[in-house]
Amino acid sequence: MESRAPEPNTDVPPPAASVDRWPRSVYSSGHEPDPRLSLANERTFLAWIRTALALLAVAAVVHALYDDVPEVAQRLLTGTLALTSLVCSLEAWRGWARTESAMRLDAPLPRSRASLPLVVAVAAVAFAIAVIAFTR
Amino acid sequence: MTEPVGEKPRRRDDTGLQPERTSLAWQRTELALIGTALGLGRLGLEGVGGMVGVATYAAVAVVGCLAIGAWRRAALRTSDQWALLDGRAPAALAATVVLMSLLELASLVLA
Repeated sequence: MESRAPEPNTDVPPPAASVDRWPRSVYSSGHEPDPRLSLANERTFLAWIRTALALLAVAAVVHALYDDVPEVAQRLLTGTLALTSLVCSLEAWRGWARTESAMRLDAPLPRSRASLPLVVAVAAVAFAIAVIAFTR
Repeated sequence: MTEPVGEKPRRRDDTGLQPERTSLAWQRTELALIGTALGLGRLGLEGVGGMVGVATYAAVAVVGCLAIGAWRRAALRTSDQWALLDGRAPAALAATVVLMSLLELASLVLA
């Protein structure tokens, strides 16, 4: 094996010129991460947003089409779904900002705190819909 | 992981198609938003705002999101720009979805 001197990392573009980037809380400190990591962070954000949109679409369907179940059940289901969607979209943004900051500071990436609540909410809604379907 | 000897060093603008994947993720999100906005407007808000409100709501959500996505995807097309993306487009998109969720909750409480 021929030994080679370590090559400089040519994957990472030079530090970005100072431009006005928002939010300041993210961009005011740290160094420029590999832009591919920022793009991956952005795709994770978009996946959370799509999850929120899917929950919202189910909320609209339950709200409009589940009108032959007790009204309390319908309202509870719609409310749970819409609230979960709200939490997901807020967490999408918060997670994006925290991850971007952590990458700039070489800190460990934060774990999302919304995963477990999301699982619990979806499981509860699925259980409720199953109960409704089997008791009619 | 070691690279095979003799392979050319990766070029600075070799991005592993990351901008393209991100661009497609934005497109998928736009499609999901169009579907949800139309469904929510047609199904969820009908009783509250009437058809004018529904049409306005769907139009604002769809046009707004398409604009945000197009803006982002335009920036992803050129390599000197995508390295400098910031949080404005994600924030605007998240705010749109937050607003949609709040509208659905409001229609639930008011109906």
